[in-house]
Amino acid sequence: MRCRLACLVLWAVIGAGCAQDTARLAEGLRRTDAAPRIALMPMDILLSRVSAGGFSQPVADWMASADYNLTQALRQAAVERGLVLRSVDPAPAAAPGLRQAQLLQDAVQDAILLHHFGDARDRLPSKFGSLRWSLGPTARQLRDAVSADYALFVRLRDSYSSAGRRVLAVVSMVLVGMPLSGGQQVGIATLVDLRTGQVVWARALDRSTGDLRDPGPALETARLLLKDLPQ
Amino acid sequence: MRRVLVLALGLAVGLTACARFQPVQRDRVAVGGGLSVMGSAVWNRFPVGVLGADAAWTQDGLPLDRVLFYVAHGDGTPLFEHGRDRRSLEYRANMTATEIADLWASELALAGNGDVRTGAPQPVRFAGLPGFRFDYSYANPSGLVFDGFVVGAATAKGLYLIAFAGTRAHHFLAYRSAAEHLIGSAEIAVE
Amino acid sequence: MRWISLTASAMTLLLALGGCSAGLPELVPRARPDIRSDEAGLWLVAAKSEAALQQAPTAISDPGLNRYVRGIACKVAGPYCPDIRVYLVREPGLDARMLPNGALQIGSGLLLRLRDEAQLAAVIGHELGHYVERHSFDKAWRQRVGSDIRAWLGVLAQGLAGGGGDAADALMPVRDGAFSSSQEIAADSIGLRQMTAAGYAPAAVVDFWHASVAELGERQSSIALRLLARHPAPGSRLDRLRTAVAAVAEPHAVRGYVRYQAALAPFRAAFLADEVRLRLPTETLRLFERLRRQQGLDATLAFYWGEVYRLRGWKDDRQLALKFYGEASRLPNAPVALDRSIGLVRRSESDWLAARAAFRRYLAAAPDAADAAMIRAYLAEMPEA
Ligand SMILES: [Zn+2]
Repeated sequence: MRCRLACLVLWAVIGAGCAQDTARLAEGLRRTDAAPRIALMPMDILLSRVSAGGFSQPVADWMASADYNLTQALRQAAVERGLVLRSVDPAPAAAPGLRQAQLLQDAVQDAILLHHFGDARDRLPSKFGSLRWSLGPTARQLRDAVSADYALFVRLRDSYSSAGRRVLAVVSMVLVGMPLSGGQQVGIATLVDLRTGQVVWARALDRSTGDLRDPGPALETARLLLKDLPQ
Repeated sequence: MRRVLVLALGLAVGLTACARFQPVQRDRVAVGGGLSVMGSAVWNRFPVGVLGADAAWTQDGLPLDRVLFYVAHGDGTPLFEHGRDRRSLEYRANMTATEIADLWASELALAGNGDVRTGAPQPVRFAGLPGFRFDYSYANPSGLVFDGFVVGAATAKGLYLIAFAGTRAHHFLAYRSAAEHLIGSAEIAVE
Repeated sequence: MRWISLTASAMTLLLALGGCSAGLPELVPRARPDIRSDEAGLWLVAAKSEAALQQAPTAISDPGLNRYVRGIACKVAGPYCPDIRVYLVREPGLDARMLPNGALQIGSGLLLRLRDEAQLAAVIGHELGHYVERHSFDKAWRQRVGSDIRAWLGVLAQGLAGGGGDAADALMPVRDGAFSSSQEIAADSIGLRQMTAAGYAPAAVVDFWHASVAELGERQSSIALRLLARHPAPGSRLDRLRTAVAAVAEPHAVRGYVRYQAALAPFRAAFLADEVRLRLPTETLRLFERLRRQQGLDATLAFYWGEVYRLRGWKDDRQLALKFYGEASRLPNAPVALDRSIGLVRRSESDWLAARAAFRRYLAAAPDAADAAMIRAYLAEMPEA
């Protein structure tokens, strides 16, 4: 709410765009292979319940169902775009030798969120607005581990207001006139060409709707995540 | 909302609200304190100090690679910024390279990094002055490992340091020659 | 619906305010929380931290030391042995942390500070107590309820006072990492029971907490002594411990001093260097006093003692540094770096003659030192005496 306002102000003052539900493609990303081998890497998902006081509690069974729901939903959304996603066994992807590759990929996603999708003032002039990040030689290690040409990395944080917080939000609005933030769905998905290491596509999510606990809304999230993936 | 996104995904870069990355021209760039280097468009300048530096440059973003510049750093001030009085972290004008490398290691460790290592300092010429160079490495709080090197010289105007670091998995090797190029082109103006 | 929730929330508040603090039932060995419970969420997050811990660059991988500490942990844990996984990490300062899922992180600074095996058993037993009693979960629950109360009070106070201003402060969750005194007492009693059952001398518990509190001195807290921040040890707790220990007569109990110091010996210099690197001279000097009382002064400790003074560099510190370097040089196995440090101190005093002599001794003892070229450059820069 407050950010949308801030974005509006930003847009009015300096004409900078807002980073809501945006996707960026590395230039020249085209479907060259008829059937590219895309591995859906083990996802980093955290679902939590926000208490009245804003204390966020991770909820294990939500996470278990979200992992299952989103995996199924992403595969279906990919099929709708004419792509086949292969889930990979989490064990080899979490091998000790791949730890630094995984941490690098997390840091690259952080950098993309910050410098590509983030506040306009944090854009890197040297990138000229294009998506130019790479996992370097670690991509080859990942390629050997998952036997695929592309890897899709998904990181999502999904939070839901507890009943107590929903009540407090109403009371706060009525008494103080101050809105309380409710549940959020924030995250990023990146597609990496494992032959070159280049991040060829990325999409950020930052919204106050969405629900991964049920298959239906999870499919909506998956479709939104993959919306701009080249057909 | 942005704050929520940043928090939720564990970004910790400490960017200030009015920070703005600026392009670097392919020309001689004045860094400050009389220090200048040959720029290149691959870099981005972050005008506000990171880790107490007077300037920070990066190619892919500060969480991945960075060149930190410390210029004309005076006697009696710590290299990094500290919330409270830390006299034991102050730079002294009569310090040797050995002592500066130790100070660098302390600062990195106190900034929350683990497995901080510094190599033995070597005498080199820096900006035409007798200086020193040492390698270093560390793991950031998430465990991502960085390699880097520091080149510097103590002058009458104070200490000058250029410190490069990049992820061991990719950015150090990818951008080290660009960093070497910056360092090789450094000049310190004599007043 | 809303009013039902509101009533429920109000009830929770009243319960919490009333200090309704019936402890949770103990975990039985091999217990796992139900996936639908709040505790399972805590375990899941802990499992992620544990996965990071397993591959952390700061992990101490030495198989001998790991085997040694795990062996003691297993003995102390008894029936809980399969539930406890020990991770040694290179981290100065006093810290050990039991994650809610039984992953026990032990910092190198803790290992450095312990006198003997029985003290290690005491710390492990205490941490095990927090695990068995599910104190992290209890703490998280209390924090949540506390933040809920603050949020409600904040909003109501703002609303009733008519101010629309900064209710946000009241809405920020306050995180307080310390265990409560009743949790500490419970963990102490389980720890004492477990270490005694494993054959260790219970007196080590009192020694350990007493020495740690002494190291803290008159301060409220120190960034080097994080264990004390999480496990407050006021005088009343120590008195209670002392009484409990006195009641357990154990004539044949083990301290394991020699065995412990032998296991730690190969790592001691590196762990001491980590402490010096924090540049908390007052704290580090107190730590070194603790170590001298426990183990006496050897060349390594004397050298790092000198290093603390050299790096601090207050007015008499150079003389104090030289005094400790002198002690180190008279003890067996003085480190090679000793002469380099003497050279640096002498150089900073502009005592060129003594500096030259020390640097030359260093180069003679370590002609292939990685920094030999740099030291030669220092020699060349120094004015003739
Ligand atoms: Zn405790």
